[in-house]
Amino acid sequence: MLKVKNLNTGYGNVQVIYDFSCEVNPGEVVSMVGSNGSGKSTLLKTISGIVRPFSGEIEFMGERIDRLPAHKIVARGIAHVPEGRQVFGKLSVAENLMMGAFIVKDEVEKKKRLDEMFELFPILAERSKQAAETLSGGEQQMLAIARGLMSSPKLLLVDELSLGLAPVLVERVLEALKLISKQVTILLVEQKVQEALEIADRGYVIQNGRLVITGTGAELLESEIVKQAYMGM
Amino acid sequence: MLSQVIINGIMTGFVYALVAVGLTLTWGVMDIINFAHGEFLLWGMYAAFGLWSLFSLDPILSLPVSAALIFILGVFTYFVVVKRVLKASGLTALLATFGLSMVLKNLAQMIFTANYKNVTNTIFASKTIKLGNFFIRQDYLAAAVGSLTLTLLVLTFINKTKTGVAIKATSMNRSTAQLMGINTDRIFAITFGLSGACVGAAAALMVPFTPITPGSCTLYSVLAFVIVALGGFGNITGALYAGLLVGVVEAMGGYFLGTSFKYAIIFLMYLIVMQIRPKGLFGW
Ligand SMILES: Nc1ncnc2c1ncn2[C@@H]1O[C@H](COP(=O)(O)OP(=O)(O)OP(=O)(O)O)[C@@H](O)[C@H]1O
Ligand SMILES: [Mg+2]
Repeated sequence: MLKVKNLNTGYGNVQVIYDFSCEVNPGEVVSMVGSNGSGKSTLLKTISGIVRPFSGEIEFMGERIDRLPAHKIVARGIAHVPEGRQVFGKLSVAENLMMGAFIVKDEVEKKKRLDEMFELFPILAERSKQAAETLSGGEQQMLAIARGLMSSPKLLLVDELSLGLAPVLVERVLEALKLISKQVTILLVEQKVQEALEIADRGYVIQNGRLVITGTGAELLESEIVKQAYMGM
Repeated sequence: MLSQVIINGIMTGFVYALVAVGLTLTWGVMDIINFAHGEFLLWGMYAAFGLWSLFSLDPILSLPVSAALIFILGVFTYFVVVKRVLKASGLTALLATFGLSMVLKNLAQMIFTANYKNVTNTIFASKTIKLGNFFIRQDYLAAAVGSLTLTLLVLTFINKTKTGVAIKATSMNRSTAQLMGINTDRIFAITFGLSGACVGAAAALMVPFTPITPGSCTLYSVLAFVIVALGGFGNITGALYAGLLVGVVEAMGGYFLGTSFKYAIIFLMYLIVMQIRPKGLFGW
């Protein structure tokens, strides 16, 4: 579904990702783990077109997307839930969700998806008229995910779901994500290595912008590298 | 007599507000200070003047044309001048639009000379309505009603339409807006066009009672900047209230202190307000 080949990317003349290749297959949950500054967010931003790659290829559904502007990539079926939620603070919850469905022309279809999101996250229905900035951190994270789903993506990129959330909330949001993964393919970026690999079919470990090891979630949790570097064992 | 002065101030204020709404769109939404805003107004006035002198079209009737022409000027400005410097640092965009303002002003002087041009014999010229003890000039009233209507129209567009909400979203977070599938380039072009349309329309409403000369645009430009700052950047309702305030203060200043002091009073008010409320009277 998504194929990244020999990707080099970064900002201006600062290279962040070196010769990186990875793959996401339909129906999978893939986790990308690594420590602060290893380049996980940069990788997602390059896939969604916010950052231009230096070289390499990104293929989605068999077509190159690495030269497309971000708004056209959304139309191809990739939604990116960015790091730090980035909800539109002064817009209402409902308006945020409607922006998520910006590329959808059919009003009836939009309304239907809105109702689906309200069913998935009932709290958002309660708060639908409220400005997004008045929501709690966890509620904002749910809004960010729901907003990402509003375009009915084939692939959902989620960056740092757990950031700033209490452990209980992390569990609840991961729960929701698991539910979603029955319908949408997910590429998840996380610092919480244990949790991320537990819900993943496969995972990639990234260090200083380079791929270190890949395998199934269970394999990686057992691997020496992951145990030593991320779980202090 | 004083209440008559206040009424005139309010009516002028509505027109100022529409000019400021145009400025607050680009300033508040795109974070771009368009120094050529006053020159947009100037060209709007010359457009109305041209249509009147060539085709005897009353400015009120040719308003959609003036608005459309300056809409196009706005879009053109975005693609040719602003877009190239959008990513550049600090004052670059400001200097670029400053350069454009010089070009537009001098071009106007070249074509129309520095002599005052007047649009006369318009539909509402030298007619008044008597309301109780007050006399209301019909051309002022038409300008006020027209400006208020258009301001409310812009407000509705921004708050209620899909494109309008996308403009707000883009102003809050450009890259996240792109992640929603919003073509932010297009949004910026529309915003610049809309800003131009506001002044193009304001120009058409003003020309029946405003002599046109290239030098006059600086004053309107500065007034618009003051109103936007008072109203809070990007705040359309704020611009409306602040426009009315400035209109009334200007009229009262002229009445009590004489015409030569009326702008001094406005800028004094501006300085005081900025000390107390740097985000404007109505800003968030
Ligand atoms: N806009 C930018 N301009 C220049 N350098 C940047 C920019 N954004 C990130 N970087 C740099 O790129 C490197 C990788 O950052 P990135 O945000 O991709 O890391 P990350 O793996 O997502 O980290 P975290 O887990 O903390 O979110 C860092 O060294 C960072 O300083
Ligand atoms: Mg990150």
